[in-house]
Amino acid sequence: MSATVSTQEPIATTFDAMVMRRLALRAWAPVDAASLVVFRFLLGTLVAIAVVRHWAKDGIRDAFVVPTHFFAYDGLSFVRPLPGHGMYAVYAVLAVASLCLALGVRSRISAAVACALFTYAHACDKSNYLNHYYLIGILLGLAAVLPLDGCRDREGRGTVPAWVLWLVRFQIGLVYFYGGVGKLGADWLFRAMPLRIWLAGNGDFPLMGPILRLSETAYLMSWAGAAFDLSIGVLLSIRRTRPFGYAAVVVFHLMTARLFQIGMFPWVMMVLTLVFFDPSWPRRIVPARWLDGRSRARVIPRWAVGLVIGWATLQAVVPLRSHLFPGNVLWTEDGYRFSWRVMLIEKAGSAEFTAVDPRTGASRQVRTRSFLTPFQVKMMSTQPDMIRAFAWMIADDAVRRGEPRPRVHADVVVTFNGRPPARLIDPYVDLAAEPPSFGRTKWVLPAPL
Amino acid sequence: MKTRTTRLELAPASTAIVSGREVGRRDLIVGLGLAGLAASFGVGVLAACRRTGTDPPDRGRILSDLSSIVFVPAYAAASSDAKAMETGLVGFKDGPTASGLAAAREAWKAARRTWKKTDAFLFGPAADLAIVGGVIDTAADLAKVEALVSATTPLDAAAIAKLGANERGFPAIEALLFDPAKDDAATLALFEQEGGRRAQLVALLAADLVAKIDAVRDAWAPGAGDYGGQLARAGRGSTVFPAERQGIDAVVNGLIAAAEVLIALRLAKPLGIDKTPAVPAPELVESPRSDVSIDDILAVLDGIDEVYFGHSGALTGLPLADAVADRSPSADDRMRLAMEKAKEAVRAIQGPLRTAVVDRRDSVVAAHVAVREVKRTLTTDVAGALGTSVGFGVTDGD
Repeated sequence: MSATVSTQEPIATTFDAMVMRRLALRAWAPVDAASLVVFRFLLGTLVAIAVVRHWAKDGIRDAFVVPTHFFAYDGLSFVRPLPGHGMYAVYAVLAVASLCLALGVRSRISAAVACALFTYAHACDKSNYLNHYYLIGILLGLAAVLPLDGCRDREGRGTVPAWVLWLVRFQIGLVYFYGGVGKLGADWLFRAMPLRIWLAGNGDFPLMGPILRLSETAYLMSWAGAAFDLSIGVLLSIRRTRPFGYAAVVVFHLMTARLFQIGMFPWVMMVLTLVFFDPSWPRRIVPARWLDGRSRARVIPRWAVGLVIGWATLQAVVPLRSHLFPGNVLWTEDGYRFSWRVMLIEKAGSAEFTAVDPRTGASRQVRTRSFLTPFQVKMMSTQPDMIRAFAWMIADDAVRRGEPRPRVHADVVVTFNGRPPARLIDPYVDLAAEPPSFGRTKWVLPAPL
Repeated sequence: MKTRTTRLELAPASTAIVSGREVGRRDLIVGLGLAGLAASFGVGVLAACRRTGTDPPDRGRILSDLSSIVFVPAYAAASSDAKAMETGLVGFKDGPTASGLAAAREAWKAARRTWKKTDAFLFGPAADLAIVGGVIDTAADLAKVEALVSATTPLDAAAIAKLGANERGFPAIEALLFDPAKDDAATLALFEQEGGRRAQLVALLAADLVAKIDAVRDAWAPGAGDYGGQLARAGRGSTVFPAERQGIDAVVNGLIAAAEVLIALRLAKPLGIDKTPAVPAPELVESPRSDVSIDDILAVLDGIDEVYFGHSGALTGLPLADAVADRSPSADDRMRLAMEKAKEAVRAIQGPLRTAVVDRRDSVVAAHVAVREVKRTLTTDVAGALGTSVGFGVTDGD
């Protein structure tokens, strides 16, 4: 037995080393940077369009000027919107930086500025969290550190080490993969929720409207959606299936854009998944002078790969953190953000707060609209960490007015994915005394079955 | 298939690869096409197999019926009743009598009740024309209204149009017609004094109110405004509501907003339960001088009822309730129950509300709890069943 092991070990070790060397060679092999240059252009353009769109829809005013209170991320309470017209200035600079990124003007500096401002704007208030904002923030960050423009080789073509392209593809593929994993739940697969609710509201869809209202269609689309999310990364990665995979991406996202109010997400994904095509694909349609950077070859330190592996591991692990916490993540939302769970819940909540004077025991009802915008009320009413944060706002406000810090209780009733309404929060708990918790929030009541 | 295999076998290696790729791609295209056809066929068969009458309610028709049966007629009725009040007040101005005063008061109450029903759908033109919290329904500043009566400046339509919101609308007319501190004879005497200026003012205020209500009515009615038509065509050519769900969202949010106003402003504030300690504030009840505060609340609940059940008078359309019941029968049951209990609880308040919030608080608190349940049911059950985006946000969701 021992003899067998001793004879096989060196063979295995040699084999492993050979595989690793081959992998390293492939990772460092230069590939055409053309598709990444186009990716950089599209990313910058999309962010610039998003800024203009947000501005035109009065989104800056609604998100930063009208609200008087903001839901800070834990540990980031110091991040606040700039007063007055400051946030308009932030968005103006963001638009300029994004355009510079698109045009390749000081690409990495432009990307760094755009990333910093974009992340800052979205870190001001949890209410505004969206998965595709998170994705754009990450991609801007990658654009700031990765040499997307490539370096000219001897033939004058811009190239990058293959791992740069892999990392960008991995980051985008991850969104689909975890989007698909999130759909492998009973609600999505066996109750066709929340699609059953959402599709019923699309009777106006051309030709298909009456069919979309049927429950059977919701089941069909739920399963097809899960299959799409789980397989699209593979389909886009294999050369022979790539055109069909991309056709599926376009059809899928055009449908979701028409069916649901998900803003720019479908367009972002349709455009950015072009990076899965052959690295040289843009050369057929874009002049070489726009694709080949001016910079000469630079040495990328080997340790950069360590950082890349670390980043990729972090990105792969963070979405899984909800599994560390008890309860249904769709209900507790512990570990829900930053996990690429897309379109999994339809929640509607009613939150009522009572502030109790600790000296007299006298209570008063707090009108949420006195503190928050309708949109913030909507978001807060179903998310436990925001409910706790709002209780703190009420208590802090009382203290500011010279009153003793009140006890704050919340009576929150939520319906999710078509279930009857159920109480989300233990109404006897003084939420103004509860510190932020990373998972295991004891005052969140069990999810209805 | 045989031919292809033979061709591949016989062709040189390079050709075989090229041919193989062509064949594979063609196969995939055909395969995808067939899969698409099969899926469409499957859905079509499923749709065809469904029994007649079990299809989910057409939300487009719900919106269309709401527009033509509830919303547009409600504003037409509000306009008509307000005009009747104005006509009565013009006659009263020319010769104030006790019977004329009584008739004017009844006309005001009737117009008021009809208008308050529209609180259940204060979106669109009502919001655009600043009717919400604007010139029709802002609490009157009694001192300012009395100052107008005693002033010597000429009174005409132009002067009225320049007045602030707290000197116009239903509350200002109420302030002139009703005074719980005086008997009818004393109130009538005021109209006979001051050279008839009080009567002239009340008639002008009524004309101004009619103009405001007419503006909302016209904005909803087919023709120039046609907001009702826009809602009816939501997702089918409407420029205001590009998607059907946006129309449903507007309707449901209108209901939620109406319930919220009842809870927070019409009941919680007069009860004083929004402050510590809870001190009753009877001066904050709506329609305090005419003592129709409870009728006001019931009228809003009736408005919610008409929208949810899609009926108005003898006319009934395809109700929103059906769309809710289709997704969740229990949600619809809870909404029906909540509405019944809320009306019951409000009717149980022994009026007037301004004294009830002080002397019979339990009944008002019970009404507050019951109306709160209506709002909660709308926000959770109804919105959840319909997939409504509560509160409207410009930010997109995912």
